[in-house]
Amino acid sequence: MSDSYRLPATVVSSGKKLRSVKEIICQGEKTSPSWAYLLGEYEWRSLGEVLEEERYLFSGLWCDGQRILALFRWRSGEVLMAVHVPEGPRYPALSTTVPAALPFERVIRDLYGFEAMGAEDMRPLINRGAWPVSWPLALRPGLAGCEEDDFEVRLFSDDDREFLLISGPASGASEASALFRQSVSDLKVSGSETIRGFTHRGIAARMMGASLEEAVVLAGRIAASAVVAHQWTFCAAVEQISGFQISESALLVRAVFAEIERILSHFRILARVARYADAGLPAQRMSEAREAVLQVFSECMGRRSLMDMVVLGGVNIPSPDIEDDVARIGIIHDLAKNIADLVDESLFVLRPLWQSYPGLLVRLRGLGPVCSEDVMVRGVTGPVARASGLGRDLRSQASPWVNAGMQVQSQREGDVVARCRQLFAECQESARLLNLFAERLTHVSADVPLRHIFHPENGWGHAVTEGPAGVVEVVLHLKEGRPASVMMRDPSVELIPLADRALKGVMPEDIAAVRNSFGFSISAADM
Amino acid sequence: MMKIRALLTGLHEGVFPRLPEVSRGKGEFSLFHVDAGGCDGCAMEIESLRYGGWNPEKYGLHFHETPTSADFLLITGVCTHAMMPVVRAAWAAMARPAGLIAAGACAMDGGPFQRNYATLPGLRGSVTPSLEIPGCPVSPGDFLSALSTLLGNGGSSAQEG
Repeated sequence: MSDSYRLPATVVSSGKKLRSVKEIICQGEKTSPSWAYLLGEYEWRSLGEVLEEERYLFSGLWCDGQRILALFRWRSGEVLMAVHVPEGPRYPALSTTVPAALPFERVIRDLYGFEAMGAEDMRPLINRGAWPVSWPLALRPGLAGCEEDDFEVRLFSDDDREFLLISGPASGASEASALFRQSVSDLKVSGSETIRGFTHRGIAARMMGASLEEAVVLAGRIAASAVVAHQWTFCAAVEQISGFQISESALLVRAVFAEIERILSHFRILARVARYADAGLPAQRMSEAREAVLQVFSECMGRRSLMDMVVLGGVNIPSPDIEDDVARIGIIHDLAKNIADLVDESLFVLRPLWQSYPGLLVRLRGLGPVCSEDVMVRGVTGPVARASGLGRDLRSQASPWVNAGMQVQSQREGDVVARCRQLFAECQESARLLNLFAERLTHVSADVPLRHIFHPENGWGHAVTEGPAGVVEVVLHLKEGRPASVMMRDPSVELIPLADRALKGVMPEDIAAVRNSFGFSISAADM
Repeated sequence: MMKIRALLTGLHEGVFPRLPEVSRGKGEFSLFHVDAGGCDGCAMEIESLRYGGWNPEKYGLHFHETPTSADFLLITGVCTHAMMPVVRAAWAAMARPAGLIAAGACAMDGGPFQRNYATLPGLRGSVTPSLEIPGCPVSPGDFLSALSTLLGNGGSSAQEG
């Protein structure tokens, strides 16, 4: 990082010392929406400097072609947006003090060509050199190609005890399409790097100018492991703009879908960890338990996928033989009860199997540790953060969970065993919540429809939900009823570099188990 | 092995979607799966097929972790520009004759993803797959039914799961 971009930790404006993010942002010129402020280059730099003390506020960074926008969210739910119009192709980096901003800055450079001054790593993140143009979303795209791959992880000596492990982006196994590079020294990983971008589909760009229905479908194709989370968050942003509130029954049905998605996601991660740790029986039983959940879902809903069940104004329950919502609510009630019972029964068998399977815990204990400080600095959320002692879960503040007596569990150790224990605990809690929501569904007003058709208004909206892997967030600007600017954040963006750091010191045969314990989705990070 | 090679040869004569008569014979075949840039929906369903108790081996279906020994290249996802060289490399590494399967709406024609700076509209337009399996995502049952047709096992037996 160049020292020329560093400023004193306190910033003086009109003779007054500004010490907080909020103070600096609010000194800017008010712009649209009411929670956005336009900052000049000096103020933007100052913001980066002050952020060092309040890194946890950073929520996302994106570009709309001409402006750089940064979102900050307080625990109270308040959000502020800082907007900066670069005078040239560069703007001051925020990642100098907030490492979580770095992936966003690299993506902005790949898509728009704006470079973050002072960022310690400006290599391409999602442009693998195969696009027909570079900076495809810039006003003036560049020539095709990008710099030759400059890998961070490489060998620096001819020592026989050092070698590189490279897998992907097509390994024939279940892992996603990314290139995983590890340097190994004395039979332990000395460096790890996940090269991604192979699954970038330009989802945000596709949403621009699309109809809202098309945009919701696209939100559901960000990652199959977090369909409900992304579609719910996107729909909630639209609903917020219009001041529209979905019915209580629709809210409960969305929550049922979200809990089922969490169970499916967690079971898959546990199965993968066991499989890559050579624990065949637990892996098989976890996969079969997940399949059993899908079979119940399929029997109730006539399909195996949660895609497109969360829609604008409520939920879509495709049951052609049933016309009234009371009957549909009955189906969801049965679905929630049946899956809750099934998960309870499965966990009754799977947990002891996991804990007693010969050698499994011994092998995984202490692997891939993540400390709470690292989690905070990198803005990591979800079960990985909770397994490292940060017991936050946005569900506990959101309806309908807020009155559900949610107990946010957390672990301390931050290793693979703690992450898996956390996933088991969350599945157990999801089963309890499913039972509770099923019970509540029997009391909701029968005359309230599961979906209201409403006419979205223009404006800016913000929504945030707790997905299976962590916080999913959307900032959306609607113009003439269509998206004009969108920021979508998936927790995988932060989890991938964290997993790379955690792999240091791991033996080569444990790499896949450790990596999969983070539960990230390459597709979601690439979008 | 002769039978499966004959099947693949037949498939590559461009008969689509009707499969050549030779595919009615019983046999086994192997697949190398490449997710060419999707949401992971189809890839997760293939993971379910492999490990969720569907027993694909019972239907003569084997997944390989290298393309060199596979009979079919199985593509899911929309085919991003970045993944196409990987798809081509996997195809080039396979013994001939080899078959190509496009599983899911994205791999077939892009599904909700039309051509843009990052993606192609699936395989359609670039190559004629030996078999297309529609769905978003493709369920393990649909997958087994379609592949059982290739093997002549009949779709009904594939439904058992």
